[in-house]
Amino acid sequence: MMTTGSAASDARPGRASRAEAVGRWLRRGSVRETTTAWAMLTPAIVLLLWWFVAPIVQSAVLSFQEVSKFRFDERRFVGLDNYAHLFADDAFRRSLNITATFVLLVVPAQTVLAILVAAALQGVVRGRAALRTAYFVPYMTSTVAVTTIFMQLFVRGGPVSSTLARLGAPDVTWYADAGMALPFLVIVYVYMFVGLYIVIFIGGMESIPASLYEAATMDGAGIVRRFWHVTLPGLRPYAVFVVVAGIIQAIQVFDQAYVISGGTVLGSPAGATSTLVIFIYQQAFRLNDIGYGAAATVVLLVAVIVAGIVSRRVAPRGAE
Amino acid sequence: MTTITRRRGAVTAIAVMSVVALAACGGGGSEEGGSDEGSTDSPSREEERVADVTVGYSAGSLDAYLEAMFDRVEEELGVTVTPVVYPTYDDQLNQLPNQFAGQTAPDIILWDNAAPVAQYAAEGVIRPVDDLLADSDVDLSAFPQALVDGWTLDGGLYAVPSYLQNSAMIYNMDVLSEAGVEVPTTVAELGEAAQQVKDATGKAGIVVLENLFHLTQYVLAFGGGWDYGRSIDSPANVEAIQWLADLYATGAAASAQALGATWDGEAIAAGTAAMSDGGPWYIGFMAGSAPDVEYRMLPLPDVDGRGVVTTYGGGFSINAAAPDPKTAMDVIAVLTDATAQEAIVTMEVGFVPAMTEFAETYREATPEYAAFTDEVLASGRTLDYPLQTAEFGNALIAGFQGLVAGNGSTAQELLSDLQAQFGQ
Repeated sequence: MMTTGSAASDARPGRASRAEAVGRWLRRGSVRETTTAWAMLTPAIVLLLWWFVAPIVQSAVLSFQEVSKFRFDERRFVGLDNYAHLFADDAFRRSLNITATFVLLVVPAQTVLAILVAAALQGVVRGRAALRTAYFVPYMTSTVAVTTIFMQLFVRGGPVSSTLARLGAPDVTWYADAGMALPFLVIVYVYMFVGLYIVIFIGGMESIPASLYEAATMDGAGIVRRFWHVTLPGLRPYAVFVVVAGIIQAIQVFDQAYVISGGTVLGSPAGATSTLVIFIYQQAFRLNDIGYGAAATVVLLVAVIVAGIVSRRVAPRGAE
Repeated sequence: MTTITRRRGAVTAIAVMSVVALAACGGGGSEEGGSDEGSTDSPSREEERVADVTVGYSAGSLDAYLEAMFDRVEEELGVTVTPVVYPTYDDQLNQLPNQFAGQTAPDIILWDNAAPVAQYAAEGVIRPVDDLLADSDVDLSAFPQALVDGWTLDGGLYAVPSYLQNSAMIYNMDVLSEAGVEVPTTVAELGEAAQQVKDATGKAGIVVLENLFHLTQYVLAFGGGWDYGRSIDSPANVEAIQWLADLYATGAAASAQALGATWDGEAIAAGTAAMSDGGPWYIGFMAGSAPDVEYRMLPLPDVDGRGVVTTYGGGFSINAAAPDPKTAMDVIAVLTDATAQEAIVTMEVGFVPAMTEFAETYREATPEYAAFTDEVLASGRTLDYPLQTAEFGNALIAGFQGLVAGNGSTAQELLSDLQAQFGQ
């Protein structure tokens, strides 16, 4: 009993000190904030895992499987077969080439155009807000609507194609011609996205201190030199963002190419608009070869990650 | 301390509610599936009829007709039909495998033709209906035997015919007159006529919607056919594909897209092309979209001038996993009975009723269809696509477009390659 009583009396102060320690721990502001932060973040994290991470993991798993066309539960592990088949597939290699060409045409075009239009808008005093909105509207408009309207403009005998034909362009329906379909896709895409980047560059230009322009003017710099030596260096971080985001967006081009192919096979005409995502959609959802489509999806994921890393690496220091 | 506890309690509650909500979302599908299974396993299942049946079909000129027939089903059987509408027939064929895989396919499926059914039957995702026919009101003898045979695979009937379809050649007589060209009677004359139209008017002689069905019509006109993959690279097929590609090269033929149309009918209606392969669906379209355009619909000219048509038809199949196949069969019986067949004519949906009796009524009511007599339709060819129909169609069209774009290949090389890939 003595032992027990002694132990009990010894334990009481110990328990009390632990309780005090816990109380102190709970009262510590940083702990409370951390707990609160985690609790508030949990729904977002769960959603992120559910909607983004899980599908990526599932795609990666599927890429190593052959999945029955009619029964998803009938799957067979095939190792790297899908990838081996993929890189030996002329259609896939062609889709990579088309996507690379598309990115190389689109990203410089939309970046340069956006900077030039943003610079021009800087000089506009009256109606500036209306012009900004006008440039932004195509980005907010339905891709199907914009592409369909452009198809009417570029049909043989249409207003734009006829004008361009007089300037030496082929007199054809652009989106139905194997040689002109990709340029058509580039034009529609740049038209849709340039408004977004104009708004970003305008924001960037407004962040450049006016004193720099005043100093340059006092030093005798004209409009071109001010643009070259003040505006462009000031826009560098924004340009890096626009280029990186532009590459990532352009790699995933799909909607416009899908609309062009309406009524016939995807990638029409003759595979000229068979971008990487069109190829994936064709394999996974038209031909229902889920494993093969998943392998191409993993390649797309890697391409997007690599493009992002390379873009940031080659960006000038301090631009990020 | 109370404030802290309340705040911590609140954030914990938010987190817990979020997880519960997610779990509920994730579990929704399986719960629905579970209820379906539960209803199937119910002891009183034999005596009960399911209250709801889903019917899948592609949107188009049948929409209003089918809605009216679904109302009849509800009135006569007390069964609600929930439509599962696909934007196009291609979308239907693209989505169905995923729906079967995900066990969300409709209980009843309306096919536009029997071509894809072999693959679905082989996979066991649609069921033969022979065992259900005995207890149903369906009378197969009212339909042409050729149509019934078209839905029969390995001795099992996989669909009940609904309507009859056939291919045809459509002539915009206004454009032909403008070019001073007569309606051709052989396929050789067809090519010459197309070139004359191009030379005289600058318009396309032939417009082609580039998909498997339409290219197949020209293959059949040359006496060819796919023979379910056994004759993909036959000399007649090679000749047909090369002939069409050569017409493209001179501008005598053009794709519907190149003419700014979403399908061939738009180009014929707009007068930007003189001829196209088509079918009875043109009748309603032309009446509505181009009532002033004079056109004729005849069998496709073939090599010896006798004319060729493809005869096929729509039909209703039952999902092998349908919870109540008996009720599904009863619904199909209503959707294909004499009243439904007559409504195809009276509602002017642009299709020909499958029942022999009403096909004649349709012909009498539709002068444009006069050339397609019972004899012509009875001698019609079937759609004998290779088993991997979608894959074959994609490869054929992409290859044909490459040929037209001048990728250096020939029709012989293209079809030999396809024979190696899809040949049986």
